[in-house]
Amino acid sequence: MATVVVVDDETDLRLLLGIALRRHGFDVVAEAVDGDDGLATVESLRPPVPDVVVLDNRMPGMSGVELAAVLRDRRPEVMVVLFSAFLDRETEAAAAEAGVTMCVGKDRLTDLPEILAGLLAEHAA
Amino acid sequence: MSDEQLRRLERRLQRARAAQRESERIAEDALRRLYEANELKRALLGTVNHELRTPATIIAGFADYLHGAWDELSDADRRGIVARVADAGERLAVMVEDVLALAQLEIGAMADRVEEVDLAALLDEVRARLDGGDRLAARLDCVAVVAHRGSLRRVLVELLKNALRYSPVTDPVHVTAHSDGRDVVLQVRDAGPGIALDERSRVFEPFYRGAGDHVVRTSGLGVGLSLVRRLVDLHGGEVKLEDGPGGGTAVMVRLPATPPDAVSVNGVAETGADGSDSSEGEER
Repeated sequence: MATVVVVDDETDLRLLLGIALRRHGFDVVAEAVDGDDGLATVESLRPPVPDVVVLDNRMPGMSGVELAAVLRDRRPEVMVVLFSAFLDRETEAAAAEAGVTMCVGKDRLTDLPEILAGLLAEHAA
Repeated sequence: MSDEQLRRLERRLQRARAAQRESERIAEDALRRLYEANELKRALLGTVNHELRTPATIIAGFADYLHGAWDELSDADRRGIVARVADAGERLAVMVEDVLALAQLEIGAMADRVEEVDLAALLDEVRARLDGGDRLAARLDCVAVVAHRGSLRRVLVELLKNALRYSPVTDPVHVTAHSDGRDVVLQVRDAGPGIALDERSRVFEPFYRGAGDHVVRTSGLGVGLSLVRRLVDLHGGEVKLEDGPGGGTAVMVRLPATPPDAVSVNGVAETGADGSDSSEGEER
């Protein structure tokens, strides 16, 4: 079972992400309320957990893209997916530069589990 | 070539170099402004997208969950989810209402009747509908003002909800009103983080939400103070931001005892820009 950490400052979105991912067989091992909390949470987990971090971008403190860049350096084996309400070319370019595997718009919440499953399958192949 | 011709050529060359430097400076300046304008537009688009899509995603996500898992959920779970959907719906409705109110004001449409408004009664009415309204500490030395009631109500709502949301929950928000013989001066003072000097004119721009974590931690489109300024302008008054004594922000609204004719222009509806039918929630 793939392990996931969810980082979003919106309580309802963390709850929804947890519900959607668990219903599709993911193990949501932790949730974090902002970028700094997300970093502390991921660093507190013993590798190989988590397989994936799902990040919001616009958060207090460290943004999602900033956190992705830190994770790329400290936990390069962790796949990072940016789950954001606003994705333009600049954001996607900055995310790619920071090591984000994929950007997914928040309007695709229900598709996210399948997207993650696809990414993990590709990664394993 | 004579020495004189050489000197003339040298002077022309210097002038040409100076002109080139000036052109480069102008071009750089224009590029910088263009970049800043684009960045501003991008930031604005980011804010609007984030603020509108987040509650929309919450509503759609919970509705989808309810639909798919109805039989697995207890009655209490279903009620809890419906409450979350309702909260997100209200959050979205407040933002849409604010944008529509601003749009109405932009085209000069607002309700047209001015009357003598009892400030204390209006404040009580607003206080009762605001989250944290019990934290308001009011001292109203002037109890009446001639204004469009709905507009004045909206001004109070926007100023108070801002002050309440940015102040620590343990601190009161002070509201005072007095007459200086010519104008009615209303002040709302909070104990929040304050607004930097270079941001004070920008916070009145529509969709500008300021900088800092305290802004990211709160939701809203950033149109509340734009509405306040436009409504106060229509009454021939003015709005100013000042430092509160001991920190925080003090917003001062000055309204003339008799508003100008501008208030009694082409009336449209009693609801809308005047906020008489909107719920309260967001914004700075």
